Amino acid sequence: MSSKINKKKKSREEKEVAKAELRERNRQMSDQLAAMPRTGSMLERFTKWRMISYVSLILLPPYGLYRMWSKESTFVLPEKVVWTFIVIVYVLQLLKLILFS
Amino acid sequence: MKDKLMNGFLMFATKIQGQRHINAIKNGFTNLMPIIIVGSVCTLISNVVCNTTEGYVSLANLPGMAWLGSLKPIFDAANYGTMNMMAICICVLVAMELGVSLGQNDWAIPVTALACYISVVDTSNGLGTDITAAAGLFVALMVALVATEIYCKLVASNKLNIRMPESVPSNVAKSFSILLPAAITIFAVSTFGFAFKAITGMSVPQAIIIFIQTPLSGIMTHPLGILVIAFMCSLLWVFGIHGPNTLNGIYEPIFLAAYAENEAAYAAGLAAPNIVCSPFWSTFFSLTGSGITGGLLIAIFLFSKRDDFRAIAKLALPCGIFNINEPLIFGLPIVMNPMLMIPFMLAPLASVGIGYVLTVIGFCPRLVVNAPWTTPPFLCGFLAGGGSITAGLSQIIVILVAAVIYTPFVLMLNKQEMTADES
Repeated sequence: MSSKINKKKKSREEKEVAKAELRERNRQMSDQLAAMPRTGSMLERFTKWRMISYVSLILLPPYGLYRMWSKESTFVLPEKVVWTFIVIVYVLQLLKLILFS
Repeated sequence: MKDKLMNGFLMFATKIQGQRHINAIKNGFTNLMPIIIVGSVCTLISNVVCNTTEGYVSLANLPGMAWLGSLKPIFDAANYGTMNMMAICICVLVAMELGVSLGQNDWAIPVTALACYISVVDTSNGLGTDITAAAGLFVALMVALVATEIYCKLVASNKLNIRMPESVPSNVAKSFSILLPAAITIFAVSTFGFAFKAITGMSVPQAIIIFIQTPLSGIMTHPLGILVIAFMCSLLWVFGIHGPNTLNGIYEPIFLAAYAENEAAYAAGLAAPNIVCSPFWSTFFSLTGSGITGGLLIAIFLFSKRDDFRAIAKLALPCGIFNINEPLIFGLPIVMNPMLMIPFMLAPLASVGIGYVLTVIGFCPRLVVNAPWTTPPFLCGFLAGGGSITAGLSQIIVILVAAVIYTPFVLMLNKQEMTADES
């Protein structure tokens, strides 16, 4: 009888140990997830400075490009490359629409 | 049991967020989003402000405002430069992001990826919008991933570097060192494209569209598909993991491609073909933040007798209007809170379902403009519907339904606190 009680106690203890290990693993994974590098959230792409830059890129492309490529710019290199390409295409298309329509 | 569930979800989220390719796609689309929104706003201005076509509801059709029509080329050209260059942009962005994650920050990576993409598409009619716009989005994405992997592996092997004498300038030496890996990558992809067409009779882009893009698009833009995605995003949030951030690398390409079709139809004056698309997601899922917590705020202000809830709700209200609800999710908290997790998961399902039904019956128009995701409710729907008041009203209806869903749980939490005070 006492051996049955001891077995029950041991299995309860083993369960507690297993639970504690699982909690520790969850905590480590949460830390791992939180530490994963992020290239910046959507909010960082819609700051006041950025929104003025986007409007400038369309309404005043040379000034917009200057803002984007300046030292104080918060644009990362991939964004700079793509936006420059877009402005070139936009200006060419605008000239085509104005001159040939 | 709770720890095992948590372990399961954390493993799933860790795998998805740590997966290099999904991360590159996610970051690429995050960088692309301002471009899409600028293009959308230009489409909206071109059609709602500058359109002089008779019968159109447009500012330029008002007496004395016809001069606005002369500004239309600016916004049409901007729309062309943004929306019609989506595939090129995503090819460059995803290639650069994947290159960075593989430890290579090289200008040759996006150039090689772009060259590989152009080599597999049909350019007999030049570079049309079927190649540069949303129609080529998925193909450009896949080619960028494959080309970048091949290029980076070849560079990392160090066996193909052409070493120049020290007297040669460093930028010239660098160009030669990447010459062979870039050339081999482009030839390999081009040869694969040629062989694929010779064997199967269809080009690689056609095969990707038929066997991958169309089925995936069919599943994710189906009402059940979007309900599953909404459920998964909410479920991840309940465990403290940013659901949309984790999964958007998977659904964003499909929703964006569907949106681009809608936008092109709207710009051409035709009916939009897709209900489920990127603006639908931001209009009916991200409305006041994940979990439609605008409804929770209404329920708290009307029915909650808990001082802590009312204090947090007051702090969270200004952000909530702009669809940011982290203060509420982590402040109440909703994370790991059994009482609030049920309405938190039900409300977005109801919202997406109601939004779909309202669109099918014609009350809410099909959404054609990708408004900035922080646009307040009603205004977001109004803009997304191309200037439609009923789209804005649809958002208000959904928030009120969410408030009804949250109310019983807020009342239960009142009772819970009263019981705790008495004991």
